[in-house]
Amino acid sequence: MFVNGIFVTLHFVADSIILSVLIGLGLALLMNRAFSGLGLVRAIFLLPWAISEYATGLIWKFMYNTDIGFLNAVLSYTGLFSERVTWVTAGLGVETLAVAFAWHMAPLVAFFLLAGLQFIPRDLYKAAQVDGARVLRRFRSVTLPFLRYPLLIAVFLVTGSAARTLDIVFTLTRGGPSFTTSTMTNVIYIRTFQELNFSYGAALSVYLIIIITCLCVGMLVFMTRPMRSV
Amino acid sequence: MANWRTRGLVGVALMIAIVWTVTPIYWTVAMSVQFESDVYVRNPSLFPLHPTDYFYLLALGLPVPKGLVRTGISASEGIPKILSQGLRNSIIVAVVTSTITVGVASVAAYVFARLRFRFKNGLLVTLLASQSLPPIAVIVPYFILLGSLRLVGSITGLIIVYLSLLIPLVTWVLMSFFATLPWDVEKAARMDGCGRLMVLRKIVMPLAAPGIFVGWVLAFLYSYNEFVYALILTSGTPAQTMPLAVTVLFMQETTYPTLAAVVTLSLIPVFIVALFFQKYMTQLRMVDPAAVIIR
Repeated sequence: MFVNGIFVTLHFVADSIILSVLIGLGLALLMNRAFSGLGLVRAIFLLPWAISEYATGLIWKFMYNTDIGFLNAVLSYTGLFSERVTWVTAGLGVETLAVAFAWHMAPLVAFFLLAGLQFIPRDLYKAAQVDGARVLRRFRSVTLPFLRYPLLIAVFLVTGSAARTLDIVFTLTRGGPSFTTSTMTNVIYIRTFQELNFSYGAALSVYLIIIITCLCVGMLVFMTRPMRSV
Repeated sequence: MANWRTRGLVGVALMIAIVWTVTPIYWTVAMSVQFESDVYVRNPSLFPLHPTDYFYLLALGLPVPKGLVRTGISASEGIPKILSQGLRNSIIVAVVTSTITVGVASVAAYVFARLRFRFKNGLLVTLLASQSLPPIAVIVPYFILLGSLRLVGSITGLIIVYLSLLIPLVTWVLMSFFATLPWDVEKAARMDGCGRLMVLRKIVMPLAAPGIFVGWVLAFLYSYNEFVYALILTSGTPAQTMPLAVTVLFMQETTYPTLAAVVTLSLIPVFIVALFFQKYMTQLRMVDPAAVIIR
C-alpha cells in the first residue's frame, strides 16, 4: 500500500509540475501585457490560489461528479458523448487530482514568473526582432533565460506542496477507488489516524520526509546544472 | 496588421484563461441556486434556469418561504449551527494566530535582515526546512504533545501549532521585504543617537507597514484555511474550524445544492480578502531568498 503510494505521489507530482508550470506560464505571459482591466483580471487569476486546497477539492468534486458534474454536462451538451463518465474510475484518478491541484497552484506560479518577466528589458525583444527572431525563438532565447530562476523557485514550490498535500486527496477522492489515488500522505493518514497505529505511521512519515527531501534536492540539482549556452 | 492579429490572439487567450479560472467557481455557485429537479436531469443546463436562494436560507438558518418548506431533509437542520461554530472558531484562530505571528516574525525578520551573528545561515535554513516538512508527517508528535497537555480539540492547541508553522514562514517573507528597505535612514538615525528599539519603532516599522500587512494577510489566509492539522486536532470537537465544518457536512449531507451553498458561503470571506489583497501581491518578493542568505 505504501509502495503503491510512492508511485501515486510521484505520478501526481509530475503531473502537477507540468500542468501548473504550463498554466502558470500562460497566465504570467498574459498578465505581463498591458491592457485595460488588468487589475480585475489579476484579481480573477488570483482567486484559485486564495481558495485553499480543501475547498479546491470540494469545488472540483462538483466539476467531476458523474451525475451533476460540469464536464459531463458539457459532454452531453456537445453530443459527443451520450454516456456519463465517472472520471475517477476511468483510470484518470491521479489526473483528476493533478488538474484540480494545478488549478489551485497555477496562480502562485504565475505571480512568481510575472516578477521575473518584469525584469526583462523591452530592448532585448526589439533587438531580437531586428535580428529576425520569430515569436517562438524570441520566447526561447530572451524570455526563458530570464525566467530560469523564478521557474526554479516555482517548480521547487510545486514539487514540495504536491508531495506534501493531503487536503485535496482527502476532499476529492479520499484515495479511492481502490487506492489508485492514495498518495503517501493518504496512506500515512489511514495508518496513523484510522488504524491508530501511531508508530507505523511515524515510520512511514520518516520515509515520506526522506523522499520529499530527495525529490526537492534532485529538482534543485537538475534545475541549477550549468545550462548550455543558447 | 500584425498588431490586431496579436491583439486578437491575446484576447482569445485571455478568454480561455478566465473561463479556466472561473468555471469551477461558477459551477459551484450555479449548483447552489438550483433545485435538485433542475440539477438531476439527463441534459443539465449550463445556466441556472430557475434560480432560488432557498439553499442559502437553509444553510444560514433563515426562515424559508412557506411554499417551499419540504420534509425529508432533516440533516439540513444542523447546518447553521455547525457553520456558525466553524466560522467563529476559524476567525478567532486566524486573527489571534496572524497577529501574534506578525508581532514575532517582523522583529525576527528585521534581526535576520540587518544584523550579523553566528549561526545566522544555519538558523535561516532551519526555518526554511521546518516549512518543507509535510503536515501529515509531523502531526503525530504534535498530537501526542498536545494530548499530554490536554489541548487536543481546543482552539488554544490549534493556535499553538499554527504559530509554530507560521512564524518561520512569515519571517522568511518579511525578511526578503526588509532587505529591500533602504538601510541609510536607519544608519542616520543610529548616528543621531537612536537606540536599536527606537529605530525599529520609529523608522523601520512605518516603512515596513505594507510588507507587514502582507505577512498578516498570508498568516490569516493560511490559518483560516488550514485543513490537515485542524482535521486531526479538532475534527468532531466543538473547536472544529470552518474547513472541517464544511467537510463534515459533505460527509453527512447528500443534497448537492445544499453542499454547493455551504461551500460558496465558506468562500465569501476568502474572496473578500483576495480582492482586497491583489494590489499588495506584487509587494511579495519571495523571489530571492538566496540573496538574503548570502549578504
